Amino acid sequence: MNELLDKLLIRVLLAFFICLGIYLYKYAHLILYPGTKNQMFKKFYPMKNSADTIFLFGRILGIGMIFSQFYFFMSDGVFLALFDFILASTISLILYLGSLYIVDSIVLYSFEYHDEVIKRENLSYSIICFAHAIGLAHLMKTSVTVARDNVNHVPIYLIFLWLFTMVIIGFATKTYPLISKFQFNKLLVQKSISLSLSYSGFFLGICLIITSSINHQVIDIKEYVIHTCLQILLSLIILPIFRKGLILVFSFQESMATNEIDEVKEIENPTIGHGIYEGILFLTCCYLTSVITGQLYFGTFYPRF
Amino acid sequence: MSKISLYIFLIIVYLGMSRTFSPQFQAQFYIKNESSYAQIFKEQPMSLILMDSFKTGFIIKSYFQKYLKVYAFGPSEEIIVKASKEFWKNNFRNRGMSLFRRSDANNNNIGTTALPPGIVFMNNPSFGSWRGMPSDDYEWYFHRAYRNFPKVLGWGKYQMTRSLYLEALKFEKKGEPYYGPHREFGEHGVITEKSFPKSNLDQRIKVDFWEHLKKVLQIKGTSTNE
Repeated sequence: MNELLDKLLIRVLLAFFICLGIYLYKYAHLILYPGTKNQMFKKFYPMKNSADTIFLFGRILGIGMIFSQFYFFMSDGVFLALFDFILASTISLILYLGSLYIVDSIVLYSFEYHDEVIKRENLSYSIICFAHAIGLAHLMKTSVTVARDNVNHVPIYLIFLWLFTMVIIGFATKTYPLISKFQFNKLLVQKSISLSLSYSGFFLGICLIITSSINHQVIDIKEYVIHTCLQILLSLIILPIFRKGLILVFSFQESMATNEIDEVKEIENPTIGHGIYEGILFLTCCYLTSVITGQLYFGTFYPRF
Repeated sequence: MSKISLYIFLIIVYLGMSRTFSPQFQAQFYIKNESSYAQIFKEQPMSLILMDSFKTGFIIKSYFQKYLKVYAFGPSEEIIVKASKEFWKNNFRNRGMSLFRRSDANNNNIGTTALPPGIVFMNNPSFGSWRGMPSDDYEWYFHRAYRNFPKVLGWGKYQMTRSLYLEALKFEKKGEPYYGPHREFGEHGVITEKSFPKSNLDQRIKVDFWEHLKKVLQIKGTSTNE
C-alpha cells in the first residue's frame, strides 16, 4: 500500500511539473505577443471569445504533445529523473515556441494576433494558428525522438533538427498558392472559415510529410540532410498519384460552376464545403504518401554489393 | 501540359539526386560493352573471368556480373559490376570464361573475345613453360612463383595443352568464343561448374505461402507442431 501511495505521489508531483511548464507558457505568450499583458492576466471567458479559446488551447495541446514524448526514468532517483525531464522539456519548449513564432511570422506576416483574435475575434485566424500549433508540435515531437534515439548529444542535434525542419517548413508554407485557388490574405481578412479549413489541412499535411521524411537514423549529418531532401522529393512525386486517384475513384467535382464568372465567384466566396474538401483531400493524400515513403522497407529485395 | 512537364522534371531530379548521392551507385562500375573494360581495368598482365551473371528488380531489372580479376602481380579480386542488358545477355553463356585480357601496358594487346581463363598467361616464358606429353602435344606448367594459378584460374586438375591454346588463338582471330575441345568451359561446362558454380545471388530464400499464412494466423505462445 505504501509503495502504491508513493507511486501516486510521484505521478501527482510530475503532473504538477507539467502544469508548471504550461504555466510558464503564459509568460512566454507575453514575450511573443507583448500587447496582450492585460488580457492574459485578467479573467478569461471562453464563451465570449471562441477565437481566443481555439488559439490558446491549440498551444496548450501542442505543449502537451511535446511533453508526451518524454520519459521519466525513476531508477536513478526522482531528482535525476526531474533534471533530465526539465532540461529536455525546457529546450523543446523554447524551440517549439520559437517555431510557432517563425511560422506565424512567415504565414501571417500581415496580421497581428492582438488585432485578429482579441479585437476582431477572427475564427479563421485562430483555426490557422491551431493548425500551426498541432502540426509543429508533431514535428517537434519527432525531432525529439530522432535526436534521443540516434545520437548522444541530444540538445545539439535537437537544435540542428529544429533549424533544418524550420527551413523546410518555411519553404513548404509558401507553396500553398500552388495547391489552392483561394486568395489567402483576402479571405483571411473576410474571416473565411473555408480558407482556414483548407489551409489547416494543407499545413497538417506538409507536417506529416516532413515528419515522415526526418524520421530516420542520423549517422552522418550530410547524409541525413540528403536523405531527408530525397524523401521530400519522393513525397512530391507520390502525392499527385493519390490525389488523382482519390478524385478519379470517388468522382470528386472540384467546382459546381458552369462558366468562368461563376468559378471566379466561387473562389472569391468559397463555401465551407469547398474548404473542407481541399483541406481533407490534401491531408489524406499526405497521410497516404507518408505511408509509402516512410514505411516501405525493401530489406534484401535489392541485394547490396 | 506544364504540370506533366513539372512532374517529369521532379522524377528526373529525384532519380538524378538519388544516383549522385548514393554511395552504392558511386562505387559501382558499369559495363556498357566490350570497350568499357579497358577504361576500368588498367592492371597488366591480367585476366578477367566471368564468375556469375544475375539480375535483380521487380519490373525494371538491373543486370549484374560478378568477375574474378586475376592479376599476375597482386592478389586476385572478386568484383561485381552493373552491365547493360544487351551485354549481359550476350555473355550469359560465358560463365567461367575470360572476357577481358590485357597482356601489357599497350592498349593494343587487349582481348575481349570469350576464351578459357588464363590464356593471357600461357605461352609467356615469364609465367611458365610447355612440357611434352606422350600424345605429341605440350602441356602448360606455371613457374613455382605462380603455382597457385591453375587453382585461381579454375583449371583445377585440367591440363591446358598447346593445341587448346592454338585453337583458342584461332577463335580469337575470328572473334568467336572458344569453350574448349569438349565444351569444358562456359555455361554447363564441366570445369566451369566445378570452379565457378552459380552463386544464386539474385535468389531470395523462398518462403512457402502456407507456412507463412500459418505463422500469420498463429496465436502467440502456441506452437504449430501441436
